[in-house]
Amino acid sequence: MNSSFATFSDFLAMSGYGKYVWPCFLLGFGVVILNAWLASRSLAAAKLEARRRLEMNP
Amino acid sequence: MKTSALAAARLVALRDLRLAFRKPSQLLQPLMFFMIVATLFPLSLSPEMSRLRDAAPGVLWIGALLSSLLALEFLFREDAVDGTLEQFALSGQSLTWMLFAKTCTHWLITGVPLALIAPVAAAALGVPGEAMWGVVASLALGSFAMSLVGSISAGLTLGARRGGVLLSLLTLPLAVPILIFGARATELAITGGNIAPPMYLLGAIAMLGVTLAPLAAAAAVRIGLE
Amino acid sequence: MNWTWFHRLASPPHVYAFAQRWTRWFGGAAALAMLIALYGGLLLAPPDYQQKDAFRMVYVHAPGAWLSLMIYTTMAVAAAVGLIWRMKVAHAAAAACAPVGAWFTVVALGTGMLWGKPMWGAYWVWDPRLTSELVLLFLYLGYMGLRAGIEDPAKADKASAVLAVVGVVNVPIIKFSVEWWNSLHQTPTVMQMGKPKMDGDMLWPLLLMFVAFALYFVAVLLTRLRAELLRRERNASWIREVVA
Repeated sequence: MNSSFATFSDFLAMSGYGKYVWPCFLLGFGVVILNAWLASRSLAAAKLEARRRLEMNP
Repeated sequence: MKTSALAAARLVALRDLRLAFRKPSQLLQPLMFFMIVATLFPLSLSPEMSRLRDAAPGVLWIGALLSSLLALEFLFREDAVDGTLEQFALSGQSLTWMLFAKTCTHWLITGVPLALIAPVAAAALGVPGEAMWGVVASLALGSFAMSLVGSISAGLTLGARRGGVLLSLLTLPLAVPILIFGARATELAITGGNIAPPMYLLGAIAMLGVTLAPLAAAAAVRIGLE
Repeated sequence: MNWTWFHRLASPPHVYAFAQRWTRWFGGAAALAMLIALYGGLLLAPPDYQQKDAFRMVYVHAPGAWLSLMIYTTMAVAAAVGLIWRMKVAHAAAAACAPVGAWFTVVALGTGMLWGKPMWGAYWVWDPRLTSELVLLFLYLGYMGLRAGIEDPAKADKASAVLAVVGVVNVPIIKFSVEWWNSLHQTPTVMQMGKPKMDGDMLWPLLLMFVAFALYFVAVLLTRLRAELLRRERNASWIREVVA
């Protein structure tokens, strides 16, 4: 497997475009992680609500 | 004697016109708003005529858009509140045709006056006299399309809290193509170019609206009345 | 044709059980696919002749944009199914799509801005594709706002469904805007008739990333759908077994 970059610094620099490329990936995958977390939080909250409701109406 | 859909629509249109002219102040409000908005731009931008002329299409169209959003409030709301809309829905007549009639009347009492008064605002923005016909035509056609698009969001927000703000938020994305082509037509009119291409596109949007908007609006109104 | 599978889709407990079983597989597959695609896109793919390494932004921007369109279409289809067949589950699915779709639109717009600055010299231009993608964001927000603004859940479902269906006309506009108008944005290189114009080494990570995002969307959708069903079904008996 051949990497297109010679050194790690080259990888970070992205031929001079690093300051655009890295925030780009951060935004994309940040949103991915955020939405996964938000969705599971929503489900947990819904389960809790449901449990409470069932306790009140046995 | 069974009334046809067209006859019912005609009756609705005449009713709306009669009611509108009983409260002329309500008709004047959107026009006043338009004039005020058109005046605020030169005050905030620059009194220099050449710069104002460049900004004129945008100013006129944003003023027209905001003013028509204001006017959309009384497309359905009063009839929904006093139960007339419900009667329309229950009457067994075509709600689609009746709402189309309401939308057309709405345009006649808000959009057309706005297009006719626009030359006053345009003159204040440095628009030359030869361009006025183009200004009036583009705004007239554009406001017709706006009324059609607005009828959908007005129908959707009937049952919503704080429907006014929501109405604006829903109408604006759908109105973007109208704004783009309408402003282009006005711009071409001012610079002396051929306004036919954007006018045709605006006309196409209006035709699409004529065929689809009343259907969507009727569906929305029925949902809101349940 | 046997339509049982379709009718089963209308049953909330059945859909809930399906979602519960399959979410982790979709999520796991998505994560794996993303990692491989990232490796392929960031390390293996050769730099572009003109854009050098800046082109790598395509691996986030394009899948994000495709997803924003795909999710809106899914939402509109679910909404239409809900309206036509009066399926509550369909309305719940449409509601579950909206937040993710809006976020992907933000990704498309944001990554587009970050790509536009070095390539076009501007963070934003008012060209047809960017403008209509922005309109898509407003449509998502309007959809969520309309749902929030109507008290009665059934009315909220139906009204927002009408909005979703009306707004779907924007999707082909976005897709074809770069072909219909003179646009600054690049014309289609992948999703077009005939062979894709992109080089193989650069193409496979892109396609894999698209698949990864799609799998991820299914996982998130199934999770949010479960939450929606729990909230909507109130005191139905099947919930006892699920939640206890």
